[in-house]
Amino acid sequence: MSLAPVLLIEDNLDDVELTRLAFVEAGISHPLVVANDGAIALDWLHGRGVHAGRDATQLPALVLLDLNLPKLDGREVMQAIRANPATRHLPVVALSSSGEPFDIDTSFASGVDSYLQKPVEFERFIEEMKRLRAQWLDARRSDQA
Amino acid sequence: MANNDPIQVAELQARIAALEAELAAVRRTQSVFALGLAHDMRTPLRAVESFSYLLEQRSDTLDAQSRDHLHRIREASARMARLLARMQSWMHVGTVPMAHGEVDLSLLADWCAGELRDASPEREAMIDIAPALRAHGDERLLKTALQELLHNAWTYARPGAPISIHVDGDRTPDGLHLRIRDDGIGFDTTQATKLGEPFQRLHANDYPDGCGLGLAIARAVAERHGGRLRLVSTAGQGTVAHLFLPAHATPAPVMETT
Repeated sequence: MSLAPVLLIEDNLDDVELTRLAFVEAGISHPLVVANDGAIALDWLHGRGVHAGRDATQLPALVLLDLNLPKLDGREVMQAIRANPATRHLPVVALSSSGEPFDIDTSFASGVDSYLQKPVEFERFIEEMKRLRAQWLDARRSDQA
Repeated sequence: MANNDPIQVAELQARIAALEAELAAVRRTQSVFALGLAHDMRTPLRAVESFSYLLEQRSDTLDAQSRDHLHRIREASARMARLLARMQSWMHVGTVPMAHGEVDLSLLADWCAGELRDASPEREAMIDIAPALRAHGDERLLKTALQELLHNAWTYARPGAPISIHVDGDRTPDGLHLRIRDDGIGFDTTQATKLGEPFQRLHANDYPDGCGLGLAIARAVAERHGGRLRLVSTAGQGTVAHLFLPAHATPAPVMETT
């Protein structure tokens, strides 16, 4: 059985590439689906707009959500995910370059399950991805087995 | 003789209020700029740091000159990362909400000394800390100030000589006067009129890893407690950092953020 994808909502192409590489280094074998803005991400989740026809019952295993996004801010995307019964229970981890308490607090207030400050060093990013895999992907797969 | 002319007093009060408003506006602009800089520069820095790291993993495919260039990029990005982290610390001490309580500075200084020893176990060091140095304030901020002051005393020890640092203080009716005394390389006080302001460095050539933010961070912590920091030094004979903390902190205004 194929693994459900991880949905990465990220507009910075360097960060997309680094996340792909860190997934490989961290041994994450879930496919990575990338949405470059919040509106496209919601279209993908609900099988509408540019993603009309996608089977919206196939949910991702995890959503990685950058906070600073064009069109829809990350917190607005989060609120839309939590407001819809079909996506309400999706695990969502916020990714941000900010470590400011204001950004962390407002992210949790908008409904994210966890918050990860993107480290500057790639080796630390790999370690964070390994932790993320253990907490949000491997643990849930064993729960569902 | 005191001037009791009510018109002049009112004019002076209005002038003070206008200057305070101007100062608050300048602080707000500085704060927004510094926070934005520290935050938004992380993204491109992360790309430089990460992709150069990945290239370094395959550096055996590069010629000697390219490896040297790559090494320089890695060094520069590491310096930039340290500078950004220090800027964020400086902004943090100026903006974080304070928690007030009785703080055991002897314990905190001992903790900081342990961290310095752990980071450089090869250095011979004698750090003498007087017991029962207590103050009223924010424990995390005061630990940060002690970390910076002890780190300075450790870093600017005389090369090759054992490090010697003494921490003591006096309790006065006004509060605590804490002293951190070292016998390091010291500095010429006449060259240090701006020491404690951000990016002021006296030993930039001999200690290129410094950012000139350590004393600015310690000073910001002192000022947030309504206290002050003063440095007394003689080149070649060591430095004494005097940290004055009032008995009951009357905090300085928080640097405003939007």
